[in-house]
Amino acid sequence: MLRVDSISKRYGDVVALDRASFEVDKGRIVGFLGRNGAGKTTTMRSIFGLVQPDSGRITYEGAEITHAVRQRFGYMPEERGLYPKMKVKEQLVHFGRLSGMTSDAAGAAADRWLDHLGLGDRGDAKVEDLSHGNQQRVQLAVAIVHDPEVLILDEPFAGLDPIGVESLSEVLLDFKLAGAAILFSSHQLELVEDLCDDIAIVHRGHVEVTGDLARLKAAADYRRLVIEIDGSSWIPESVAERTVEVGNSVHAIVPASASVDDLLALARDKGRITRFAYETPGLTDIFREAVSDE
Amino acid sequence: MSSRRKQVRIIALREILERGRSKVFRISMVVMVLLIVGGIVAFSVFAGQGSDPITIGISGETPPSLSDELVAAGEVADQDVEVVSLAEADVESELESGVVDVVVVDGMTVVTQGGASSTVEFITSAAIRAAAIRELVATGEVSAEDVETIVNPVTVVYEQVEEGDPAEDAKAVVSWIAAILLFTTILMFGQFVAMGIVEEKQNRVVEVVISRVETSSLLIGKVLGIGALGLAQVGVFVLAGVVTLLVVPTADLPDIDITAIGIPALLWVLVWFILGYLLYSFLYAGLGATVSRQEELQGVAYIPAMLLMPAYFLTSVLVGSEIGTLGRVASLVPFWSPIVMPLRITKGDAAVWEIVLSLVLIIATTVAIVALATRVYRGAALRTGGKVKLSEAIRSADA
Repeated sequence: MLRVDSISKRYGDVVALDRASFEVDKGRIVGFLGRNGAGKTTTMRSIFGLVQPDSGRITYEGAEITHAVRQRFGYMPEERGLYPKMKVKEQLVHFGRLSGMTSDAAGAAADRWLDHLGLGDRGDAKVEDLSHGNQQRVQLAVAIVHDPEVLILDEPFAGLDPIGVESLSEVLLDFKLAGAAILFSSHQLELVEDLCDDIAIVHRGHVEVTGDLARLKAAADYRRLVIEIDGSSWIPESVAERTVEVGNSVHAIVPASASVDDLLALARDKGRITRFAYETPGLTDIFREAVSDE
Repeated sequence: MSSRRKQVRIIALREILERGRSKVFRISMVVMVLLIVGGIVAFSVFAGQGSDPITIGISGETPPSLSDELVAAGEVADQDVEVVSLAEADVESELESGVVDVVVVDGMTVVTQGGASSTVEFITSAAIRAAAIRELVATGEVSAEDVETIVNPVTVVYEQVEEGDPAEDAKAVVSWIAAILLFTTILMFGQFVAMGIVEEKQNRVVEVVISRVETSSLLIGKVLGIGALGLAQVGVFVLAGVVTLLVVPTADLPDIDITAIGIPALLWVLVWFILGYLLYSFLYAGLGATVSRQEELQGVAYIPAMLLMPAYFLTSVLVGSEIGTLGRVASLVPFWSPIVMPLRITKGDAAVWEIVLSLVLIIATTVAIVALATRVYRGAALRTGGKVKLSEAIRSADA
């Protein structure tokens, strides 16, 4: 288990991290959410010792992370960081060897990942000659070539086409099945909702919400309710705390304590029910709530 | 092998391979070797010939030995001479057309086109006199002994207070060449290190590298890789020079006996070369980390050059003179000793304790610079906006 324990970091007057804490368990994918500048990249860099927190600590399996341990980690930074004039495969072998692989093992792994990511024929191309999307694939391959136990990816989905999103998702799920602890940051909430077991939402350097996504949703003290009577939206004024418009329909936000039976009975009295949906809040709701300054 | 040493080796090998394979490197290598070989060949051709041969015409009533005497006088003056016979009618036209440089008419009159150079004057006058004297002897008017008494009344003897030492010249030349090589290579390859650092920072690969490698390993690997390549390059240049010198006849070059300096002294030169390179490269690495773009590099790259410059000038003075107190002190100062100490060692002037002290000082300084450069690098490597102040970089690396 990777544990970020109350780390803080200041740059002059700017507070980048303020006692941020969360955990990434083995075999789980954690979505790291937050607005721009909230502290996601600083946290990820801290895990790799690229940033030294002013206080707090980061541990893996209960111990401080040494360089030897970090060789079993994989990191994909947000911006491209590759040797532009180096050939793709040589680059992968280089980074694989830096993480302790033999040349042969690194070569085999490089071939395997290049094939897997659809770059099988570009191994001898220079990185600078690749398209933006392909460079991003190489960056991913660099992060995973040594089969890491911990995978930290900063905005890995940004700029990928739908097929690219799908293949990256598959890679992450494969690593999850293999028992890796995975943390990635993203602004694409639906993607996180589909892919992640846990989430951590950071706001102004502090982790406001973290834990199992399904449980967080269930633990919310409100539910989304959509009722349509004879094809048009109907809001049960007596219980609705407020309403939100989602597309063409109007959702009512009702307390979690409100009984579904009672709500159904209320609706039945109104007429013929054409739609009735009672749902836990979405990730968007949780996110919006976590990062609001009210 | 520890994983750290392995990582350093992998990083160094990448530098060697990537740089060695680059077109710029290969082309500059070929150009430099051609320049060295071509330069030596051109020099030996010029030096071997002295100057262009002069053509001397003889015309009219000429003593039979004049032709030989002209060539002999030419040899004394280190000047090739060709002698041609001319009909008297052709003298003027041949001079005007430049076929001959000078004509001796009737064994006594020297005709030129616009005056004779001092060399021409010496050759013609000496040869004319000698030929005339031979005439007198041949006709029996004076005896050969009389001539000898008149021409060489005494034998001049040249004595030296001190025996000249050919090894001394060789030492001076080798230490001077070593100083120039040290100065240029240290600055050139140090510059490459700084550029490499900025390059990795600029294309942000540094974030990926130091997420799996300790910062000091990256710096050390980079410096060693570029250094090994630099050393190999200098080795090739020296080899090209030595081979060319051996193959091309260079009779007129001063005789330098490299072996007179001795292998130990040459090895010392190599040791100081490596130490000097390491010290300055880590300095360049630390400075390179403070800027974000190649264009900004010139703003800091002059600092090591300024540091090394005094040693270079001092050495150029010391090569030809006694090592004074200044030289002794400079040979201990870490930033200067790589250039000054080899000179003292080749001159056989340095005491063992001085060499040891100087080595200890430079190694200690290098270790300190590595630590400092690593700190600066950690503090500045991930900051890509503009120039980072040294003090700021050191502080932000604080744990």
